[in-house]
Amino acid sequence: MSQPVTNLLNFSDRVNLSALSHRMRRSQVISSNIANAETPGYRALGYDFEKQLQDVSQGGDALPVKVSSPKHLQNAFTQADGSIRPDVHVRPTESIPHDGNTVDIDTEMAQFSENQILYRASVESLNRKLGMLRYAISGGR
Amino acid sequence: MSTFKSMAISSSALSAQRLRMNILSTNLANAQTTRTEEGGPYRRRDVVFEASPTGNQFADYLDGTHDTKLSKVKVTGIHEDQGAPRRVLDPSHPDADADGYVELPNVQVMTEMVNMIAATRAYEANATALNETKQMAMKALEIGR
Repeated sequence: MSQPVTNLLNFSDRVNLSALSHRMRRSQVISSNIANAETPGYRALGYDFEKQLQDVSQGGDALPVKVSSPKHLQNAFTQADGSIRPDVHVRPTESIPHDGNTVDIDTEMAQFSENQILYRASVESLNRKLGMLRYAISGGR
Repeated sequence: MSTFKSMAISSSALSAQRLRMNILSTNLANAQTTRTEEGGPYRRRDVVFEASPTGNQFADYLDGTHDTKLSKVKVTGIHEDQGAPRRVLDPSHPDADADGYVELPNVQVMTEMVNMIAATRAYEANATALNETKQMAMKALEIGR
């Protein structure tokens, strides 16, 4: 095998690993929204990482770095390990109700479930990969 | 760690809603109370919620996930409703005034019940959130098993 050991986990696995930490972060954000569902003046927060992660995993230029010399670092960091840093932002809303609270509890609960299911999917996918490696290590027995 | 941060956020809301439930129970229990330590009838109380930043730990700075937007919920105060007491004609009541009217607390039983339902639902939502976070963390422990 010419590949170094670090490539046991390939790019898509690393994207999966990255997705795990972003999903965990989103669960924090949604927890915060649900906890403050009745706090006057609280604005619902959002955390969007899918687009950025997708761009990175497709080798796209999601976060282009401006360079003025060919010797400058290119986008290598974001491309290499899919490490992106999206911001927690105040989710834009059409209207702000009387008490200034923009949390919609139904949306939040739905998003929480979705987030959890996709988290489990990522874990499952990683497990399959590790299972294949184990199968190979044991010589197919 | 991030798992425990979301659990801390959810549990802050659980205790806030529980406190609110206690206050609502106090209101219901005292719906007919005409004597209080401050004098006069009981006045209904309500909680004031405030979003309080979760604060950052060293690990959050390392991860680059520190920010002040995520919020726990905190009960900043218990507010006493200054609305006028209900006046009911009941001359036989020991606290009746010269005209035979008794001042009863400004508690509306219906309002309190509706608030109680809201508090229960909010509590359930947060308990669900807490459980789901827990399940995510448990699932993460299965990686590579």
